[in-house]
Amino acid sequence: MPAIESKQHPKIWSPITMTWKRAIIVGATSGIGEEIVRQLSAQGTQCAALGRREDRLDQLAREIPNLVVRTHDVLQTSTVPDLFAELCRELGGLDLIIYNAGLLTEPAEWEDDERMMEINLVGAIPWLRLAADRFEGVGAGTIVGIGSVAGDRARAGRPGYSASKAGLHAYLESLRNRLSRRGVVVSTIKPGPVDTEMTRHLSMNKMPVQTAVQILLKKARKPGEHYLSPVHAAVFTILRAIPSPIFRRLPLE
Amino acid sequence: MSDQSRVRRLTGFAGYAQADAYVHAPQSLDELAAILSHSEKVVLRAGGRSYGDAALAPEILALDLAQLKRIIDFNESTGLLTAQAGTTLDELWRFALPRGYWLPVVTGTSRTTLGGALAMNVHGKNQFKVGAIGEHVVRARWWTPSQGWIETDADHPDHKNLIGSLGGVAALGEATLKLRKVESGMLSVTALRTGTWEESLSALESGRQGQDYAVGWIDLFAGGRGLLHFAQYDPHADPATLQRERQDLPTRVMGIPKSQVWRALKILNRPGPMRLVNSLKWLLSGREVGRTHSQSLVGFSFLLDYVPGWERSYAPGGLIQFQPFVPKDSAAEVFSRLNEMQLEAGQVAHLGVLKRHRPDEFLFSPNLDGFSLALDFRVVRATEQALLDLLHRMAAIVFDYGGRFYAAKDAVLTSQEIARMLDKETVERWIDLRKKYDPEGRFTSGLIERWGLNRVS
Ligand SMILES: Cc1cc2nc3c(=O)[nH]c(=O)nc-3n(C[C@H](O)[C@H](O)[C@H](O)COP(=O)(O)OP(=O)(O)OC[C@H]3O[C@@H](n4cnc5c(N)ncnc54)[C@H](O)[C@@H]3O)c2cc1C
Ligand SMILES: NC(=O)c1ccc[n+]([C@@H]2O[C@H](COP(=O)([O-])OP(=O)(O)OC[C@H]3O[C@@H](n4cnc5c(N)ncnc54)[C@H](OP(=O)(O)O)[C@@H]3O)[C@@H](O)[C@H]2O)c1
Repeated sequence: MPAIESKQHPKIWSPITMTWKRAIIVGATSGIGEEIVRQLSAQGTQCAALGRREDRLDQLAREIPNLVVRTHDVLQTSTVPDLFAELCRELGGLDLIIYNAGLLTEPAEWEDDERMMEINLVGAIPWLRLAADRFEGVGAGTIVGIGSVAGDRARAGRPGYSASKAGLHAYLESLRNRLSRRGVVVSTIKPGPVDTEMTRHLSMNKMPVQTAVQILLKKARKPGEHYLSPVHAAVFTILRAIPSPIFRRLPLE
Repeated sequence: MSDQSRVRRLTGFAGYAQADAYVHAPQSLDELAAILSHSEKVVLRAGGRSYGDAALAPEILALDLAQLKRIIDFNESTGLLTAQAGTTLDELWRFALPRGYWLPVVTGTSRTTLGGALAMNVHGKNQFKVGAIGEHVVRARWWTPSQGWIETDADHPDHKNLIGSLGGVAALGEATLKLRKVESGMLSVTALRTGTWEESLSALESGRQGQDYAVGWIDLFAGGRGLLHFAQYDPHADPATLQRERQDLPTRVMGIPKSQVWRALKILNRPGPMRLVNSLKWLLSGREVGRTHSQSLVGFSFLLDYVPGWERSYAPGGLIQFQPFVPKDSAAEVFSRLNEMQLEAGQVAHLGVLKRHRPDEFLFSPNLDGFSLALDFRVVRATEQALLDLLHRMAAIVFDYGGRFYAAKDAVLTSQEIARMLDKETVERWIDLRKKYDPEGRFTSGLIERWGLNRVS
């Protein structure tokens, strides 16, 4: 006896309700990334959360209904193309990608610098590039990279971290120059100190992570490079303008 | 470049349904077959003129067949024309008319392709007289997952199943149509004005007698008054009107270049101004009423192509077309009730088009002994949900009276609602067809999923 199942199929969405319906967040198991997933989900965005720590992903999945989660190590770049397509399929499309995975560690050995370059920059390349290729053809979409004020000027203590973030800024700038006429927003977020696991050992003034993410998600809607506070914007605009011979004489670590 | 660079945003003609998909456009029938035999899930797409989600689906391969547009064969004495599936009605009439033939069935836009026309079994303003396009398809060649290329003709048991199968079972490669011989490129057109729903329907019913075409434009702001047009092929007009130049639509409308007119429409496309436009149209029609005038086949048939991109005047929300088909005896009651509901809800269709139909045996056919009313609703964010609620309430009434809907125009009905329209026999025909030709369900679309046709067993 023929019967039509009564399961309701989700509506193919209409353009007027279209902004950030579906998002991928790479590096979503703690700190800024985890908070991004929380805030986006609360706004109704269907998210896919990625990171290496499975227990954290499971916990998030229990907390947020319909969350898509995947364990993923950004060092495994060759797996990204298939994973990217699979996530888009599971989400039913893609409007936003945020590359947030990052490592900040004491650069005791050159291998530490290399690891930061790999996680903060090299790991970002396939995700950002695939999203750029896709969004260019679609004529819409938002690409966000979490950089750092440390990428603005390379201070003595963190060559690997600064180089990785400066590289990420340049990579995103190139994508922005390619895509801003195609209806695609590419935005670089350059946080200063934010209170997360990454900065737990550092004693300095830190922005609460909820506040940082609220500001970040607002700014990310516009193409360009964004600081999270006007003070940072002012200070780093000045610091960036200081010529190298003077900069290296400043009393900065 | 990565696979991702092939992703495009596909929209239905009405701009309401959208999905991102991996698009590829095969350049030959051989390439089409090769790709299909290696694909997992595919959605077929050609002119993209279906209003809703019939020619799109998210995150799978979308084969755009618009490049397959060779006219393969034409027999001047029999009027049999064979062409590839991506050939548009525009290309076909340009070829056929100078040779003394017109298409037996055309849609309101000439951008429809043969493939889209057969998949939906499209109809024209003459469906009451000559049936839908399927009745004029002498032969068709389809690619199916289980049997590769197959050919059907009117005697083949699946001819009337594959025509109308919504791109969900087989890909049309080419088809042979029997064209209609015409002596001139002109129609004699008569106009008639009506004041109420009752009058509009009964005048369309009596006026169509002896005519080749009949269509009514209805003012829903004023509760059913209308302007009806009847047309007949004109054997006595100048044969030179068969030439393309005598058919081409004017490049300007009221002095404005055609390509810019949609911008003007955008300003008008709101309930207040649209009420006025509908009223003016009705009042000004006084001049043509009662007199017979001569109009080109193209001008009469493809009126909606006069203003290219008119659908953009509905941006950014797009429009939803809602086209119930209702048995003739209840049509006046149902249509006037739907009209009242729109007036009450404050969401009135900006355009209403009335046609007369006759039943046929094609799969998923909406055609019945009755009338259809095509309604265009503008989608605005603030009232989108209220509009959807209204459409579902109206659909319930249509089903109560044994009415149906047409896949090419639908964008909103759910599988539960569709279950009220599809009888057991239709569902069985679909299941058998799929088992035979596409057992793994390789062909799909937003529409097929939304109607639940991929899940029937
Ligand atoms: C302004 C306007 C007026 C219209 N007027 C009418 C009208 O008067 N009467 C009417 O009946 N319809 C009308 N339509 C609807 C339109 O004719 C149908 O939706 C038709 O199917 C569109 O054909 P297409 O080539 O654009 O196909 P698409 O919209 O690209 O596809 C339509 C369907 O056909 C399938 N398909 C496409 N190619 C093939 C193929 N080669 N093999 C198998 N399946 C295929 C697709 O998968 C999809 O399901 C109108 C549309 C517009 C925009
Ligand atoms: N906190 C700050 O003050 C500050 C300031 C400027 C910029 N930022 C930047 O902000 C981003 C987030 O930092 P945070 O403060 O939130 O730090 P965090 O709590 O340590 O979070 C880092 C995230 O990156 C992920 N990650 C690290 N290595 C990864 C790998 N190999 N593969 C996949 N995911 C990996 C982590 O997931 P797993 O460990 O589970 O893999 C985690 O989800 C980083 O890019 C950081 O550089 C932070």
